[in-house]
Amino acid sequence: MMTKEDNELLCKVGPGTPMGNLMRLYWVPAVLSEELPEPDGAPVRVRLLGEDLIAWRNTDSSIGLMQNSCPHRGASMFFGRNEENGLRCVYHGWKFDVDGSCVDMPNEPAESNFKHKIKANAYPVRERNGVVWTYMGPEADPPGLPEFEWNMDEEHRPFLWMNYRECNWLQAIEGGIDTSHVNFLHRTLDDTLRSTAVNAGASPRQQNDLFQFGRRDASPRLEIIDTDYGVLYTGVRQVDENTEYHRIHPFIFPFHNMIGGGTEDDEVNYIGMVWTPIDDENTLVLEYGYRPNKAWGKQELEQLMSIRNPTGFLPPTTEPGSRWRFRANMRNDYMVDRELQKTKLFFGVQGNPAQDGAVQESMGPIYNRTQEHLGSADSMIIQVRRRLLNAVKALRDRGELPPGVNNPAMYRIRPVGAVLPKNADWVQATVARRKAWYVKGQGVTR
Amino acid sequence: MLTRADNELMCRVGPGTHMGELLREYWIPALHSTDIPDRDSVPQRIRLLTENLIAFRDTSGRVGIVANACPHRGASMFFGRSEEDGLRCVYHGWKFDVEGTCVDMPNEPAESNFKHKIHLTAYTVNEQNGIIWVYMGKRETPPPMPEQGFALVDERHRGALKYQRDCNFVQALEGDIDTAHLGFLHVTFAGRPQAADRVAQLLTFTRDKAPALRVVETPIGVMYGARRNYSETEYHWRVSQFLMPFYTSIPGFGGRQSAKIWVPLDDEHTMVWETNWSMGEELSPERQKGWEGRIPPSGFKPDSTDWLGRARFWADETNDFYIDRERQRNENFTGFEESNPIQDGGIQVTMGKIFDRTKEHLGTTDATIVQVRKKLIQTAKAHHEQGIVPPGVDEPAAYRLHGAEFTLDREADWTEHSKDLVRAMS
Repeated sequence: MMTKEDNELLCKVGPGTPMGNLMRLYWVPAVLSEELPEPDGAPVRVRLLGEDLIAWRNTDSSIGLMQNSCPHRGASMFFGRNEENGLRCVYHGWKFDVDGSCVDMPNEPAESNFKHKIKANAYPVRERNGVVWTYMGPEADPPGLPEFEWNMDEEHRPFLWMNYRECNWLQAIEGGIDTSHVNFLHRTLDDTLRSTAVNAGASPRQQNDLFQFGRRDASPRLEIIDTDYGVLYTGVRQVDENTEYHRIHPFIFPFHNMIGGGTEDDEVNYIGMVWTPIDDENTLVLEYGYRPNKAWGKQELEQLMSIRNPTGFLPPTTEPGSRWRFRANMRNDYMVDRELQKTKLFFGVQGNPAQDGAVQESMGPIYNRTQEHLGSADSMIIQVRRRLLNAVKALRDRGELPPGVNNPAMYRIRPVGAVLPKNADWVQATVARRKAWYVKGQGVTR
Repeated sequence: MLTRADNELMCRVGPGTHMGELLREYWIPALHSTDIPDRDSVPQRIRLLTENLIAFRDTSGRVGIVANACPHRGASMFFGRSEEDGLRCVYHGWKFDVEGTCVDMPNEPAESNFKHKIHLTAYTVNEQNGIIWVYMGKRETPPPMPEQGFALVDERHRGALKYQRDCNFVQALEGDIDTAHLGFLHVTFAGRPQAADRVAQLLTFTRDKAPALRVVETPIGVMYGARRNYSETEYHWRVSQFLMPFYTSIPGFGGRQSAKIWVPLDDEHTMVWETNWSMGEELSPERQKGWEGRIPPSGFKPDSTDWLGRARFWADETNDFYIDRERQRNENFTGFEESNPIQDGGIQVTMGKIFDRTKEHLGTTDATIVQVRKKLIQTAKAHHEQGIVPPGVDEPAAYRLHGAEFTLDREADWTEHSKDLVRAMS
């Protein structure tokens, strides 16, 4: 439960809001590389943290991300002509490069120096391993990109996709740090559907862990520690009298989490999400599936996609993020099938992300946390909110930087699973396995 | 004419509003029993008095009407699993019975007593005469059910119809205590095909288009007689009732009585319930259904799972209620379909969702409307400010009033004459 004020503080991310200011200190995923397939291609509408932006791939293949409205008289740059290393407004021909400099102003006299006084708001962009990141913060010289191994390992490129969620980012990420819902929301009643209920691409061994150990105990005990990057928790489920199954998953500042991880090193395989606010009431969930020991095959990737999103996407429009909208959405009750609900799926909606989206969106566009009742299974959520609140207030009131802003190496971590003796020190027992071992130029070193 | 403040007070029905609190003292019809016929039913979204609620029928056949948001972290109970005498949230498996008691909390340790501290808002339900009624008020023991005529007869003698209207409940209700509009809005031109009894009625309404209204207070409402010139020696009287807080009854015909219940779904949407009954002969299945003359040829949209997705006509504001100007010239006064609910809806919805009563100009034929508004506003204020139990709540027998219609010698006393004619006897 939170006060209305604290809830607003965490949920609102527009320009000038405390949380908006905090998020703008970090790199934010804007689009996937595949959404800007070719130089001089059509500009794409993007909305991030409540700002309307236009992305385009330049003639030289670099990427521009600038304000939607032309600095001249506000016409939308979406209609712009993408040509000769710049985006030209169709209204009066003003042209901007990826830095936002006005490089041509053909409707003013040639001798005018007006164009040198005009600068569009354009954000720095870095493209790496399929993701286009942007920095919307105050520093002229942005920090390094977060060193996520899945985002660096070009040999084993991740399974990468997004999905659009019609709700505030916080209630969405809270589903990612909430291990106990897996036993309900994603549960199958019929083993023939088991593959839809586990993390994408999990090995048979991992599926088995979750099913044999996880399913047996629906009320996991949560243990939590604060870390430099955020919060780490384990959901502990009883295996037998002497043994426990741990699912050890991090929350990483400001909007990342990771899930899965095998119980053995030789089958490292996990997923993670970046919960990027489109605006206060919409979220773009970047999801990656990373397997450092073996690159994904084309067929595997297709299979993963059909497991994660069995009903497919809506036909895309030109609205921001539209190509990532599910066919199963709130306007058709997520295609809930009450017969399937009776016989095969606890929920009756197909695909884990659609299941998550359905319950999260049903809380309302910005969930009112003054009404809730949190139990021991929600203790990770409570701790993450506390850390976020502390960080937001420290930045707002004292100018203190939040965790990791200037520490890209901090992101070299993995989630893990572990079967341990009862009451074992799970933190110590998994120190090595929780490190990301990918090093650029050397591959995975362990 | 009302002040803006009084208009708001009378029309807004959310929790904590004057009128909302008043309405929550009374039983409210929510659904037909046939809307959720099956045990372990698919949960239904409903909205009442602006509250989003979920209705379901449990394994034992009991109906629950509960808050939409799970008390845990707010997921919608619409997606819930209706199983083994309860509704289970699909997010973490919390399960609630029809009374809102948390009967299972499987994601917390077995030894935890957290579940005993959790309650899902659940309203008392009474399923009676094919209607699922709900009490949304504060009393531990809800008041008795109103004994309107509909409730006094067996199922072969009654029927109920409902349809939604996209405007505030007061302006909708006002149409039913406004006899003068019968001589205009609902007029079908002579020679056009229509039922014989309707032809006779219409003749009366059109012969004297400016009825004289006589308005009197009753124990729980307002009654009025509308006097129309009929013959040299006789008047025609049409007596109608308003009963607190949202009942009206106009004269029935052919041995069938009727009453309407104007239920606010929210400030801008109303479910109109038409109840029909006969104290004498059984009603034919057709008359029980009550569609004749009421449901337009264009009919109902299919129901959807939306909060407001039930009993909606195709003819609505988006298509100008299918007005046909050719029909307006040649067939009837409005050009709408031959259906009173469509004709009423067409003009009420287009007043604006909540009619701004600071702008109106009331005449003598609006006298009942003036009196009913006064009653509603005064009752709501007395209830809010002094906690006075509103009329009717504890007087179930007072609802045995309905409309009546007769011709009477010009010298005779209409109230005396109508005394027995407006009372429902069991």
